[in-house]
Amino acid sequence: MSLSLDIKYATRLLMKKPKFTALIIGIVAIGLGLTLYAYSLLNSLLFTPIRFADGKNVYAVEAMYDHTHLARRAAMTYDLFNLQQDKTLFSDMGFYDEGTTFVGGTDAGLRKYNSSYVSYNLFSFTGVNPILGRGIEESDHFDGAEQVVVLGYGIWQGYFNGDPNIVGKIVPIDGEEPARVIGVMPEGFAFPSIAEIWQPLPYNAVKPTEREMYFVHGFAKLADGVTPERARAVLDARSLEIKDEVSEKYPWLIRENDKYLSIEPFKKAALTQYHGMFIALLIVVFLILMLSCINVGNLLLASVNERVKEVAIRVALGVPQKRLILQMLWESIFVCITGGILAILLAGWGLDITNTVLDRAYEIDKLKPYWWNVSLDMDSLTVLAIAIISMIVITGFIPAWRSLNGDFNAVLRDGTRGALGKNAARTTKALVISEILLSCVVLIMATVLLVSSYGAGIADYGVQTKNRLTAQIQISPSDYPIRVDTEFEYSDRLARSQFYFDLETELRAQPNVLGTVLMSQLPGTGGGTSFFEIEGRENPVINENPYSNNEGASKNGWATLGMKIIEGRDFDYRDATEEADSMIINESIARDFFPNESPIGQRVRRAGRQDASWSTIVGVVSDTYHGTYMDFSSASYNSYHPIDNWGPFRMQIAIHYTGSEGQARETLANAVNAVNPNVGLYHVQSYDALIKKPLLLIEAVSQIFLLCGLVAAFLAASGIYAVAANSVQQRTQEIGVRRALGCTDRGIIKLFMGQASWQLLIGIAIGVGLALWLLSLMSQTMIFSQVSYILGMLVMPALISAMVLIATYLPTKKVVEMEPSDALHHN
Amino acid sequence: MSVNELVHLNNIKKVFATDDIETHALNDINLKINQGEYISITGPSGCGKSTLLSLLGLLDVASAGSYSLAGHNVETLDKNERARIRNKEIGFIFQAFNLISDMTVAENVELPLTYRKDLSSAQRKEWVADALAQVDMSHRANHYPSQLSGGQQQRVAVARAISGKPSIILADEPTGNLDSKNAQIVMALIDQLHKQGTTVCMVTHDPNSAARAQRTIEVFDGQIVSDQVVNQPTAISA
Repeated sequence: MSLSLDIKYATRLLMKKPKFTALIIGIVAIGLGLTLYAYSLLNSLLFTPIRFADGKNVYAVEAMYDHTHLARRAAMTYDLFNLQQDKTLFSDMGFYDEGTTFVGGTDAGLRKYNSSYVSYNLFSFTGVNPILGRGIEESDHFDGAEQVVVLGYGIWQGYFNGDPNIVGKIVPIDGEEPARVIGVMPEGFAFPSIAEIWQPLPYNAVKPTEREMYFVHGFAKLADGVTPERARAVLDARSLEIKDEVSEKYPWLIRENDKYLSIEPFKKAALTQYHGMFIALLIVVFLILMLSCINVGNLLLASVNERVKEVAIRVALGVPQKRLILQMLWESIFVCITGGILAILLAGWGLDITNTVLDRAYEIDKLKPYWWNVSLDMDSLTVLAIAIISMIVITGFIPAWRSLNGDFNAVLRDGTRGALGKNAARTTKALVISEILLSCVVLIMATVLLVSSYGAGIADYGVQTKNRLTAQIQISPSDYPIRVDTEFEYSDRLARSQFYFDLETELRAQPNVLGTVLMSQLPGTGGGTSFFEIEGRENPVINENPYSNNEGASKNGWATLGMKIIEGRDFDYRDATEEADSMIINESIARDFFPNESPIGQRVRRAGRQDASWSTIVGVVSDTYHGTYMDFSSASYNSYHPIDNWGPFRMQIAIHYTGSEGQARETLANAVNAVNPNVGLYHVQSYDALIKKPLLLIEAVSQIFLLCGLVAAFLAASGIYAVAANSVQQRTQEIGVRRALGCTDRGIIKLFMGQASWQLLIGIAIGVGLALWLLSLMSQTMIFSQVSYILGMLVMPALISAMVLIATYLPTKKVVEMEPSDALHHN
Repeated sequence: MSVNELVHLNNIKKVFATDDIETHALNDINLKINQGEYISITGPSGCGKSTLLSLLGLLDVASAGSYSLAGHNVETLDKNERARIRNKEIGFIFQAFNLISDMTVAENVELPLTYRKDLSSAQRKEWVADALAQVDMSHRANHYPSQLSGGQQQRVAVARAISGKPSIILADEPTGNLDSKNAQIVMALIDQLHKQGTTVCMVTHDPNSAARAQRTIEVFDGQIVSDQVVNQPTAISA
């Protein structure tokens, strides 16, 4: 009976003030909705381990992530093979590499798919069986074995129209190379990540007998009783042993901190460079949840302050403590549960948008890992339930604590006075400081990320992007084979390069083409650096040598991108001889490492590799920037090498065109087809889109940060105003007393503004410190622009300061405008 | 105006307007208070006696009429001037003590002195010590109000009222929240202040407290219905 009375009473109180109730439910819904959304996002992208039927977590085993080399590093097959044999460490382990395969021939229509080259045990590892045919077997790896492929469900349905007799058929891949289809995998299966087609790795990659330059990634399950920490320790010890083994031939394999082999949860390994950003997002969302709790708690506290006399009467009438707390909690329970239901709707809506954004971002290259499909699951709903309970406790506790700790005798004796005194003042100060510091952290983080990603998108990469079309070109190895380590190798490489030159000649002959250039990675993309040593200035410590990004580049193409030769010459026939080893450096390298001399004629080579040949600098080109401005691995030092005697398998092309982009696309496709119809042409996009591509994920996360920032700003502005107004209102009588004692209005305002300034100082100092710490975590893999720091560290605290001072000034002014006698008798 | 006249209210009215209702709290109040007088204002609840005290203390402004304090017309003063007069000329004692809970006893007593620019820090400390000594609360100088009993808090409030050596003490039900023993102590303090020459004007319900004054004014329905001298005036000290 008493319970229903309490519920009825709490409901009546909330219904009595519908706007107030809607406001606090809205704040709860926003706080919980963001938490649910962020947790679901990170759960799908990072936290939930990849598991198959046996329920064991899947780990990535590879070389330690290297910030200077962009993203992940594969490990030597020999080292992973040795680990695979140690059954006390891994119960099951396989290898893979990722690439691009063209399916279809000249007649059937060439189409590009993401392929995974895998070890035969991938299918037994996952426990997922093909829906047609079989998976890859050990014998498929043997040298001379028939080339086989396992198709993904999408390609089977899309390219082969769901042909039920596809197994056993021969299909051309990568040009005219024939491969037999041996199986079709079920819908949705894309392990290890983005596979649309599976092909066997070479035998020497699966069963290597000696150390050679072949690198793969590993997927593994830990043996029973082995923890990830234990596995990590074993890999560290093994890395040290490998260091001794490779000290002469491959010293660069082991990093300066003796790190090499690593083990990470499979999902985390795919996002290593963004891990800090996602953790920061989680922290920011948690802070927003706290901000919401404080706001709601404070609003309920204000409501209790209005009812302090009623509470005092209840205490005087002998209400048990538990009952009083429960009564205070009923309002929180109602508000938080209603807010929680709205939060599910908000989060679901946000996740739908995110899936659309991710699908669009990876529409062209289909490089989205198969688990990047975010949704609400039981884990997320459990977290929501925990968040709701915590919120009920926190938001209910503040007013309940207020109710239990008041001097009710004093309240009953004198209805005009609040009775919390010093404790109430401390609570209010703590609330204001918490609001300031939380909003400070969230707004600074959001500003730095947003401004940096926006800046990276519009940054000057040293190239002209207007009317430039880019694409990836991949030749068919069967059309252009390279007979390595034979007398034909040089001529084979020249023949392969000749295709690219023929393509450029064909394109340059077109009326709508003003110029073309081929590069292994065009400026604005790629990145990753290697140390080089300058002849005569070699430093035996590898990482004390200068470093640069290295790209292959075609001749006479610089102007296509708006680049120009500043000194020396462009590549020409002299660089196409077997003995030639020329390179062109950019202006920054010339300026910083050859300040008082001409770099032309100087020789450089890869640092730490005694077998590396010396390259002669023949020219200097204008500066460009490779990689995005937000990647730690991006480089302003760039070196270019001729492609003549390299014979690359894949190149990026940029075309400077007139007329429409559609015409340019057609011209490019026709030119490729004219030179060699077996050559793959894909990722055709404008130069601006190419530059923006690596920023899409950061941009998406930045938009979430923007949302967080806006929510935080709203919560902070309303919360700080509410806390400050409540604080001033609670001190109305004190203001009356001070004025009765002769304090002027200005004196009162000065006093309150001074107190607010102290709270500001403390809140902002802690908030800026916390934001700097979080940004330092993220800056291990990302670069934030100076402008973003200036805006984040100066403008945001200034904005918060203005909010706090206005939020203090307005209610203080309102109280000061009252007659002192009214303030003294204020209830 | 007589030589000793401190307060002169002439046809004072106070009207509170809320929504459509106008409440006449005070109507045609005419009152003169001389220096050194000890006045009690009595009357039933809601009769307007506290409103009258608020007007006397410049805590509120009259709707009509004139008010002269120590020969100066005060109803035309701006808010800052009124604050300065409250600070220097008037000492308040409230029923609810109205001590600031975040401040120690000494800080509470010093508070009105901090609003004055003519006192050095050393002078303020000296005046605070004097005031606390007068109410026998020196030993509690560093305590907080919450650590004191009601009687002790009111003694601190008295000390605060006299710390600035005001011309007049305005007390609003000074014993209303106290037991009889503490009420006696506080009233004795107020008597003592009067004997030392301070003008005292006290609103009270308590007939015993009212009887200690020289002059009793009775307010009913917003008007002074009785103004009687009941005791001989005490000589004003120089």
